[in-house]
Amino acid sequence: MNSIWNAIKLDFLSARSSLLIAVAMLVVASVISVFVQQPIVVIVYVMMFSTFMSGMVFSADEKNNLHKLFGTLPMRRTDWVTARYLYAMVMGLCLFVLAAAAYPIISMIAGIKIDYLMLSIFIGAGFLYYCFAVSIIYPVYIRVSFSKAYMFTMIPLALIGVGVMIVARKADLSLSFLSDIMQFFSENQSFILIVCFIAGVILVAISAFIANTFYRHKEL
Amino acid sequence: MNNALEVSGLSKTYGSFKLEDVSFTLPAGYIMGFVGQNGAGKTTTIRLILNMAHREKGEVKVFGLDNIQDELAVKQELAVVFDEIFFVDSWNIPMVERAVKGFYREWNSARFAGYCKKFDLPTDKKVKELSRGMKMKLMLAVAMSHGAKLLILDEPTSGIDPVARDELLNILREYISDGEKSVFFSTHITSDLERIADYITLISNGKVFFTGTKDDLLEHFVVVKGGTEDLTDAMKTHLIGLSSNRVGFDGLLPAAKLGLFPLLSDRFVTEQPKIDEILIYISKGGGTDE
Repeated sequence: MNSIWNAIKLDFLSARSSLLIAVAMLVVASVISVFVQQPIVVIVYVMMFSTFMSGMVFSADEKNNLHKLFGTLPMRRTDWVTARYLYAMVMGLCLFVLAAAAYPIISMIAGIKIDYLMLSIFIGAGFLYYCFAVSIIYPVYIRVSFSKAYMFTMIPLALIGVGVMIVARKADLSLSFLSDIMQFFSENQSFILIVCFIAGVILVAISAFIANTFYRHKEL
Repeated sequence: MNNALEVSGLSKTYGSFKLEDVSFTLPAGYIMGFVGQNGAGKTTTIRLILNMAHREKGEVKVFGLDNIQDELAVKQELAVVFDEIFFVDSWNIPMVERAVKGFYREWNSARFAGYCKKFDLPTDKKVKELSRGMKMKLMLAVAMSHGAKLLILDEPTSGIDPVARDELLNILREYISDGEKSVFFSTHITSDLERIADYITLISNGKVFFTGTKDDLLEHFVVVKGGTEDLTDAMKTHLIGLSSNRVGFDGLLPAAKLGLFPLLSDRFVTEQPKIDEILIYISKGGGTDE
């Protein structure tokens, strides 16, 4: 447990510069949100860039030969994978919490009524997308390396696009299905966040299991 | 005698390169030089010792502990310095310490600060701003601040100037002075080893050519020089790295085989080789000796 904690700390230290950029861009997105009077922009920003930012830790690994450091530290390979995924979750949660906190503030500054349903939907869906993206790209980065698999950052978005197209083709079925879902969540708003969070964590846990298999067989 | 490092029958294949049956033993309290030309298998062996690569066969024990079964305990006991730094280039020295100290039970911040002071490492500078010699000293400071009993160095002196190399050798000598610590030092700069190594393991094309004390190595072989007319077919089969021209020949001969040519021995010139000469001769190949 101690080595997992130390490895998470090491990840935050190695990706420190990209974290600072992420926070700076969050501030910029907040300013833009106020300017265009669309508080949702800040959440969309976090949704789009958090995945990219969380992948930067792999870039830092490669740039600085950190695989050699990991190979010499007294730490199990499983601990390293667990720490890397926990780092991604902590980073994602922090960014979405900051975005959620910025939303009402931006709404107040812009003089717009706070739409909590919209906030829940965007934060929940955004976090779920983030977890989905992490669960796809992290095993790829671990298996192949960041520099060779950088373009895979776009894969989650492409998969969602394909998924939407498939659903759209079955319009009759999906429209009634979607309207049922919308009905349920509009009556139970707090469930949006809970369901998205649990679904996200399950995706990430499955991905971590796969990544662990890859990393155990990887040569550092 | 306790052994710091025991490697036996280590094998690994990468495409056309094959590390084959590598075996050697480093007793505790000594420095072993691990010598071979580029691509001989030095780094592969070190990566196998560290379990960074997966062995096909063989066994590695560090202070009697298996390097895979007891990996965490083994890595508490050893420290590694590679030829290139493995800290984030935007870190300064206090950040390097923050990043690694939590992993080690025996980390000693006062000792680390002491080494940084002793090595004149500037605490305010970023890793990327340090010279190559300074980076190597930083890795050494980290390596020696958690009570490691075995220090593994992979080509630490390549690319650093003679003054920094000399400093490194003095640091290593001081490091083992308590008689409990050991150093496994991979290099192709053999002059460093002539000065500090107690044991030498020579590796060539993935196979151990010699392992033993430095004195044994230097006594184990002789450089033979003579006229072309004295070069018999029998001798050709025993000479390692034979080169000949119109004037004469030279090659490396296991000292024990000098007795095979008693009639000719008064017509040869024999010299004790230096480690780099042995390395050059074995890299040329030939001979029937191991």
